[in-house]
Amino acid sequence: MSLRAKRALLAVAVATGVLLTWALLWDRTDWLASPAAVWEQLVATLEEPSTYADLLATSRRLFFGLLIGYGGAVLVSLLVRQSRWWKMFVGPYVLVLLATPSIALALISLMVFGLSDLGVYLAVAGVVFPLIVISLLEGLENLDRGLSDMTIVYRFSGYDRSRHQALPEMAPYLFAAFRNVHALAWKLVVTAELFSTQDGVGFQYKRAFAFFETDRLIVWSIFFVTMVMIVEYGLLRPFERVVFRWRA
Amino acid sequence: MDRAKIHTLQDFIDIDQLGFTYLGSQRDALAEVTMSVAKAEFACILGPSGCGKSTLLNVLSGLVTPSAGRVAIDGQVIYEGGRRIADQMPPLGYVFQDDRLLPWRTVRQNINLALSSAGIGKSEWNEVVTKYLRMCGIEAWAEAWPGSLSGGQRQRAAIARALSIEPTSLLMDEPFSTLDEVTARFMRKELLDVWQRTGQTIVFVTHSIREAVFLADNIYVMTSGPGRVAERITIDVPRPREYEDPHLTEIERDIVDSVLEYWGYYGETGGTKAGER
Amino acid sequence: MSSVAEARSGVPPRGARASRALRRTFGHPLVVSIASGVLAWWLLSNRVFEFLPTPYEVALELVDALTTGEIYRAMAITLRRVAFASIGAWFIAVIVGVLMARHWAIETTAHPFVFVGLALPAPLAVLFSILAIGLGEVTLLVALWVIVTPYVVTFIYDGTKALDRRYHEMATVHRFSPWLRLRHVILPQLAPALMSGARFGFVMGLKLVLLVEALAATTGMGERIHFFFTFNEPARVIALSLTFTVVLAFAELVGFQAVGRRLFAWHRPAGSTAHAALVEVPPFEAAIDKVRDEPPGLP
Repeated sequence: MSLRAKRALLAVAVATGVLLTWALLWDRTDWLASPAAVWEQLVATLEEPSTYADLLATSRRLFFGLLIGYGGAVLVSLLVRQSRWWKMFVGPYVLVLLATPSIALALISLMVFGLSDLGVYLAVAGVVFPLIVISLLEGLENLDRGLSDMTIVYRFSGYDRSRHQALPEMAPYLFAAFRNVHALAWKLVVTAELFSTQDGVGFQYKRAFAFFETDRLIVWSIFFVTMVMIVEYGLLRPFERVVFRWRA
Repeated sequence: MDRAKIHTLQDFIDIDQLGFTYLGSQRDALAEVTMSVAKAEFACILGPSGCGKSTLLNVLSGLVTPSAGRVAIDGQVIYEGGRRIADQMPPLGYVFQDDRLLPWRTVRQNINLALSSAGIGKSEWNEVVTKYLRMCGIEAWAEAWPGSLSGGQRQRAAIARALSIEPTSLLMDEPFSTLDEVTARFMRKELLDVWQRTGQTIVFVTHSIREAVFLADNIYVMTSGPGRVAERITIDVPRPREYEDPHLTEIERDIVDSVLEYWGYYGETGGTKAGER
Repeated sequence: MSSVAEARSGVPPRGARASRALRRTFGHPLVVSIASGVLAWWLLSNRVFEFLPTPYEVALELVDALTTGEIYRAMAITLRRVAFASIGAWFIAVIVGVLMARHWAIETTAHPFVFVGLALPAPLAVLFSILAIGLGEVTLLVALWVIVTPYVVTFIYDGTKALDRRYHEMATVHRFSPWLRLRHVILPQLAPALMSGARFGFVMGLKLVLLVEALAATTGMGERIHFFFTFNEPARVIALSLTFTVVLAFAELVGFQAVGRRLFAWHRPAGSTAHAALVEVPPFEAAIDKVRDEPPGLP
């Protein structure tokens, strides 16, 4: 049997093993729910319309938070690239944001903006911003001067230079930066929701925990992981494939 | 009397006492380089690595400004006394050693971009691109990604791009040095074909004496440390030339000695020259 | 005007030199940056953002916190927890990571757990720990272990995977004892990954401990911050956060190399170069020479 087959078989065996252990031992503990109960809860939650409102709310917060954080990081990176002066100007902010634990940033942001969605957006943006700036600056330093020279000799317009040379060259770094930050941002949104909002995945966690409903907790975790995977495999990978189809 | 008139009316590229120093460096990369290239001439700049021949091309193409000297192209003064005079460089084609095609755009798109940047109207693009791709023998690969082409094909695409803007002069920086010998020979022949058809002035940089002898009307031998033009050798052999032509071999042998002497290989060590027994 | 004088004489006149020095200090980007930041903060506080405390208020709280003993106690408790968490996570990660890299069966088994560990949000680990174990120090530790270990495992796993088997073959041919093998072949190759993992784990622990404490602890910096959050005292929260940031920034400056390399290793092509980023392997030939000079003992 090939290694791949062996691996697949083992993976299935492990999954089955975990499920069996769960099914057999769940009532020994006083906190775990049975697999059957979790399944029921899953189906029930999927049928509730408010579930989708919650998922949408979390996604919305993620989207705007990433938009602000990522967009701001791109603008700042371009600025920093212009001169050393700007690099030193931006430095302390990046450092402070990097060194502030995300929970602290989230709580401060929520207090300052009155527990509103804006607080969540800015919390995500604040955590994401320095990480992307660092990734992009590293990328900008590694750009190929040869192609840049060619665009000068052939007198490309500024717009053409950005759109056809600089941006495509930065694409791998832009993607990598996004990936690094994407999973982190999801977790942060949920954390922020835990402390402030009336809807969203984080709120559901809080509720489930408060009412000691482990089955709901597990169900919402499954939802959470599924959401992350949807973005990664449903949005990012296809998009990536299109952008990089020129690779030999 | 007007200095320009001392040189012949044929002079297309006129370089006078060109100098270039890197900022913050004591060494000059180029010093007192003087040469003139006639219209429709195929000029080869022959020099060892590091003699500044790429810097010379960078000056001509407008990438860098020289620290001293005067450069005029087609009668228009571009640089004088260490400053750029002209605001618009004349249209130039430049073929780099590494093709420098944008790998994320097709061959056609690459050339379209060059055309667009040269101010050529969109309506003419198709026609022009097809014409020059055909001339370079790669019409079939118009929609291909550069990554899927061989080195020779990519260089041909780069040459097609340089030609498509129909420049008055073509600058080429060791364009065939990264290709294997068979492909390179083929490309040299193709280049001469194309040149005869378009009649442009070509400045071709190389470190291969054989290549220079085969291609050039005039060879400008450069020495290094700092770079300057040591000698101009005129190749009188009629075209079309054969790469294995014994006449060319003879000329090559004649100039090898003097060229190597310029480049500092003989003299102190007292090695035997090719002609001596 | 002064520049013309400079150009003529080559020596700048005294007035110009002084003004240049002044410009350099006050025009220095760091100064401008911090000054404009504080100014913007002050302008926005209380008026535009009514819940944003003024810099002055925060400074007062900061002084107050630093002069009373409370912050030092809280910080000490927190740091102690971080230390236990990161060291424990490191040991677990080394065992799991090495085993995973060496035996495909263990890797297949452990992979989903590592994956889930990386994918789940931190609060979840804390909440589950509380449900399972109740409130207490152990809960905090377990939660931190669950969250941090998967990350460190990836470091160790990559490092172990990158071990050059040619050295192992050489060691076998020369009949190295296990101790020699460990000391001269395995550890030097693995050392950078072990260190990167340790540093990353520590920095991550620092970042997460506040969250864990906010949810589940009765003492420590995170608990304090959460306390003042619920009582809506932003100035206090900012002050506490700033002090923690200083500690974290200090740790980052030491540990940032590891974090940064982790972030950037992603976009390198999979294979030797990605691993080379984490593990520096001495040249094969040099290693053979070294062994030739120190024969491992009688066969």
